[in-house]
Amino acid sequence: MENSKRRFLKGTCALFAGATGASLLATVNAAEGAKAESDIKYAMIHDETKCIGCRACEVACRETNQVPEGVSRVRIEQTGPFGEYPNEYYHFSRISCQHCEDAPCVNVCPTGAAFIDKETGIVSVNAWKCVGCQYCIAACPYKIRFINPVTHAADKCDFCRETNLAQGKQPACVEACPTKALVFGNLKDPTSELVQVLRANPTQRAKVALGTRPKLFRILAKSGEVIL
Amino acid sequence: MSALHFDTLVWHWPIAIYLFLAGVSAGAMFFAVLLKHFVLKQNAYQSGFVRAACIVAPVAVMAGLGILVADLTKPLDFWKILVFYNPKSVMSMGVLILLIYQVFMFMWIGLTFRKPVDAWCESRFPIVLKLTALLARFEATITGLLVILSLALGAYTGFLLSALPGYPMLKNPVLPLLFLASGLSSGAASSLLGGVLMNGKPNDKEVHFIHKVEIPLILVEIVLLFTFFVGLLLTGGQSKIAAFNALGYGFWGWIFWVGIIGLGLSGPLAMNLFMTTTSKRKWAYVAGTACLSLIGVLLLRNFILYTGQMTIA
Amino acid sequence: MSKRQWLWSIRLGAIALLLSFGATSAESALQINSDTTCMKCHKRNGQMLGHHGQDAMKMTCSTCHGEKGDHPKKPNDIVVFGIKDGSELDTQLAVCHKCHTQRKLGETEWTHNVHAQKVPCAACHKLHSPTEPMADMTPKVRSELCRNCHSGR
Repeated sequence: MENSKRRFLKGTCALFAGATGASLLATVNAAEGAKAESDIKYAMIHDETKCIGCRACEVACRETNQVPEGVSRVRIEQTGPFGEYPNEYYHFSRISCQHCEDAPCVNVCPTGAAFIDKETGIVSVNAWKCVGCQYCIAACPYKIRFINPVTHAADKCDFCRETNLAQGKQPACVEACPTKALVFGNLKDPTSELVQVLRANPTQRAKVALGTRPKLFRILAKSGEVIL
Repeated sequence: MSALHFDTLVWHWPIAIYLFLAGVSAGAMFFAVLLKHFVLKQNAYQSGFVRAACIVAPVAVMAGLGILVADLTKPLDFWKILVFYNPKSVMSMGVLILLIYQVFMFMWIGLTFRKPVDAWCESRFPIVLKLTALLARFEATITGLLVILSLALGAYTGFLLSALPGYPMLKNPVLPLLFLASGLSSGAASSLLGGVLMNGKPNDKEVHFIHKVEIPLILVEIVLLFTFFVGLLLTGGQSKIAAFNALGYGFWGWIFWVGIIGLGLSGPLAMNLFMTTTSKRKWAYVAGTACLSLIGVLLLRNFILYTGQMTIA
Repeated sequence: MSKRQWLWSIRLGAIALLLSFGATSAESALQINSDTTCMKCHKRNGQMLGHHGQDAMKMTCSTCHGEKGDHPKKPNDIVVFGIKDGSELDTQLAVCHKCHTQRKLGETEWTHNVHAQKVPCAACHKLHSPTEPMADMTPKVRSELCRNCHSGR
């Protein structure tokens, strides 16, 4: 056999061996990583029957997370008025990141800037890695992502992961709500207030049919109207 | 809500132009390979049509990437998309395909133009001759992989949009096929147009060959468009609403029925059929048909991008 | 008098005139506050400096508070505005509704609709002060206002 052919065969075999070894190592690592699953999975409930539309949550979030004017991480959508004078009322819905378990934004992000924090289950953004392609903004079916005009990176509610949560406090919106309409806690903790409320009340999540497995629950308030 | 500005619009016309250019590049390379392999063989580099394709393909893909970088909100950080990858992201894998495609594209172009390249470099950069000799040993592999990569690139433009779950019209399995077909068609059209603008003649065998491929291609495109929209209507729910929003009366309705179906597909189809029945082709017919095709594909990209984002899940 | 004396008297007169303007602006020159019926006793705590007290409105203290009658002897028909120690809710509301229709109020600001016939206007609106706190509220101040009454029933 020619020298060059021998060298070629040796090289190819070495390459194959190396590749196999590397992939085996990767699978072993992945398996071990999967075993050490976190016992925290954060979720939030918005009790629409208690919400009065004061927007204290919006204000607190803006202050705590330095959200610039013109964009918002959380907003209360108001519909109405329903009913008859003098008993008119409005319907308030919280519009913010649902922290999906199968988040489309994380799936589509080309650089991995959008990621799910393994410890807490919070969908977060690494503003440095973000290049601003806006694929995540197009991918989010709940339309809650935006480009932060200051950092020029994608931004959204992250349950105050870098601010309040990091200091051991509840998210700013939860603390600010005067009627305690927001409940935040760990889904994996059966003694948490969150789980108690979920078990005691009929709750609903948005656009479940899309398969995103969102973690923002709502206790619906009545609209008092027939809406088809 | 206007046709070009509405709440749920995220990606604007620069993305549509990028999708168009990526398709043109992929299609041009595909047809260049076909022409060299089936029609011209070793003297491919002398053909005006192959030359046009070999200019259009790199220029289009690089211009497309340039537009993409300019459209980022952090354009100076674009290098991060070349360094960090996410296997689940269609865009990330597309970037990878683009990079590898460009490598193979330049290798194939180098091989096709081997004779003039070698002649020019012989006295100036003799090492280039060794390079082309090395590449020539793998010509078949390079050609084969280039074809696969061109088809992947053409389809990727469709997969990119079909990965968006929030837009029922775009989250569609027919979209990658539709974009592949129209991408190949636009590549053929740009090669023809470029060719007749260079030293190609409208009656050359390349034109005959391309037109023979173009007719079934346009028919496939029409069938795919039909499948696409009928599929949406039959799915019901928001998909049905999306289809009506897109095809109904209004700015985009006109664009679709007159611009795409009329000018972009029926026009070139009719002219191609007419040209196959006559033995001689006129320069203006070839150029005109090619222009109509290109306009049609550009309109199709914009149409799908904008109307797709009009209706959310 | 000599020319020098004339000039000095003119200068002093001008200064006195200017000073006199300053003196009168300490008290409101609004017509509503010159009504001695009420101002005799309520000069300090009854000054009407708000928008409703403008001369063009042609309002008097009685327009909102009712006729003096037996006041300060009780019982009397004076309308007291406020949540604590205020008159009956319907009485208070009737005064404001004389000019402000509920429909218009609701159109301008939705919170009027949900508080209709449940809360007196004076719970939030302070009319006597020169700056009404309800005008030009920042979102933060607004949400704090809601919190004053709505706190986690």
